Amino acid sequence: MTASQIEEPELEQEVFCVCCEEQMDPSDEFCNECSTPAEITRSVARRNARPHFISVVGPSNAGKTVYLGLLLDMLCGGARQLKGVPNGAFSIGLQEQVIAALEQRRFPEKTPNESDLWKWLHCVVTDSSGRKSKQVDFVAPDFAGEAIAMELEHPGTYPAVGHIVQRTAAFLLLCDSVEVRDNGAREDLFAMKLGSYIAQMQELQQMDSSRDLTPAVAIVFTKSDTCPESAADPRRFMENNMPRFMDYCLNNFPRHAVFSASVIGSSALLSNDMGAVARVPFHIQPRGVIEPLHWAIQNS
Amino acid sequence: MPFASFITRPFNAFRATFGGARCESGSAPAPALDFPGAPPDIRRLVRNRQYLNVLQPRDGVQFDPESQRFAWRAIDHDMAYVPGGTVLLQGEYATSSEDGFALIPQTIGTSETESVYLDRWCVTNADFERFTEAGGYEDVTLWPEQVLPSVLQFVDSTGTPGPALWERGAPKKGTSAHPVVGVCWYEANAYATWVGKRLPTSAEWQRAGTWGRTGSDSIDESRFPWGNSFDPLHANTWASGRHETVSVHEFQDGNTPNGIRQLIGNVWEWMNTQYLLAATEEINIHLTDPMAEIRGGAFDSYFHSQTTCQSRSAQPLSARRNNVGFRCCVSADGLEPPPEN
Repeated sequence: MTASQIEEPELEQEVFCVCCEEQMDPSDEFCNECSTPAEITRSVARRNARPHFISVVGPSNAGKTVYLGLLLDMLCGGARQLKGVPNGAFSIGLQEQVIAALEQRRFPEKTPNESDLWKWLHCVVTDSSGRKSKQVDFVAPDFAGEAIAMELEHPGTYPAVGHIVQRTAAFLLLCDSVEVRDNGAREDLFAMKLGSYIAQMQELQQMDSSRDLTPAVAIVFTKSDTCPESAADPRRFMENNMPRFMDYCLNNFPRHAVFSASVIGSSALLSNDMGAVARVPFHIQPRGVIEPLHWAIQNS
Repeated sequence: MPFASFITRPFNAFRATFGGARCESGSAPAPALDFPGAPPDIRRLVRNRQYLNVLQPRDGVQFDPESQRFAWRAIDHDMAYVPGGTVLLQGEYATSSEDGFALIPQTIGTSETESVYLDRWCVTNADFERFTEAGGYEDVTLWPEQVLPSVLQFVDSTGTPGPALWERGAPKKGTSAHPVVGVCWYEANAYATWVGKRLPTSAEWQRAGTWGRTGSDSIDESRFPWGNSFDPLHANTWASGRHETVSVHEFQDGNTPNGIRQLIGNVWEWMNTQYLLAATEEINIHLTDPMAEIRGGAFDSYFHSQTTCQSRSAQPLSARRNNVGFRCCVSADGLEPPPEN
């Protein structure tokens, strides 16, 4: 089918939320059920393609916003065999926020907890690494870590999280390497909780075991520039520091892989009189940002 | 810049290319230097790139004029003359606001630099291999006393003394002409001492990248050695898509007018300048290890605004990164070239 043959839905016509399939009125700015922005639903509907939800999840401060924003920028710049074209101006919002901050050597502001303030992206990604190139409509929200934690504690608090997790084909589960190394059990248990939430929302226990319909899960140890152990051998790092979740993945997610990623080339640790502690980047040199997405696309 | 500093140097000191053939191939060997007609001891020093020891002998015993002429031929091949002058140093200070911590750009001030001879390219794997083979890691005179215990840890991936990414004391095949990386600031200094040179200061490095394009009546410096506009064909950064180090023979369109290669991109370069971060009063800076400035950006530098001749970054002195190398220099003061003929 050529592009001219695709029937483009009228902008004014009724559409169903791309996330929870709730009917939306043409005047709606957000889905009433899950707060997904109407523009993402319309953007996907215009493409007339099945959206491929890839969710970037993880605890607060794991680096989800920076990862997602830089990933999009790298896709737009034509990273090795993956190329991406953002669909709609709203998809560039997150990229713009992250890139502007990193170029000025600071980190972007924290993602707000309110789901109607989350930035989304819809990007058409072409994977030309195989013999035949593959095109997917990559749809991802920039979740707030606190919202994920709250939803895990009290399912239903953030309907958007639940609906998206239900529909997600591949998860990029981000964990802060240094937190894992220094507070392993806490991070391990959070990841376990997230894993069992995914299993519950996708009803993996009820699935026919003869067919593998489980989601692909890429565990990504972020900020590996400050944790050489995670950069050297991410899988071994996970086995040593997150043994519970490693075991959980082996038993529940047959398609899983472990990666490490970093964005910063060098940084300094600062603190102030108010007790705040944070790193400031001196320069940006992405490592391992594209690889988890590439794996996720090929395995979902 | 005093005009006199130009006319006291032979014109070949400013020449953009050295006598050897210009080589573009990425797999070409490292730039070789050998004078078969030279006396054996001079020939060995030249091959090891220790020719400065002929002109400025460590033991004070002078070499004969013929040997000195060979040393000058080697300098002409390997190094470019950078006249002294003024550079405007840029930096940043740390501050905090409601949005968190941030680095705010600021002008540090002007700095006067002396004239130097600067290596035309970064020290290559082939060069550094001569240093390791000559026992550079065992020579205690090359290392500061407080670092000696750490020198035992400066080993490659197989536990042999050498750069972090080497195996069994040798670089990866086909990379002899690539800049050596995986060396910390102390290793860079030890090598520089061994060849009778030193690391450049940040101001000297910046001067080398900008002097040919700085107007005589202003201190406005060009952002890159080739001008003000970034071009991924001129420097191996993220934008050029190579994502690894390349030979020192490549990206010659980014040379300075006097033939200094790859100041921007390929590998960050260690500077002989301690990194000092200013901060507003309420901020504490936590550094576990002193840091040195690094300049120029590398193959994986994402933003070209962070790889200009004026921008700086830093690494701990003991960091052995796969994207940090170095080049050496020597003060021109006291080095009098022989007459042109």
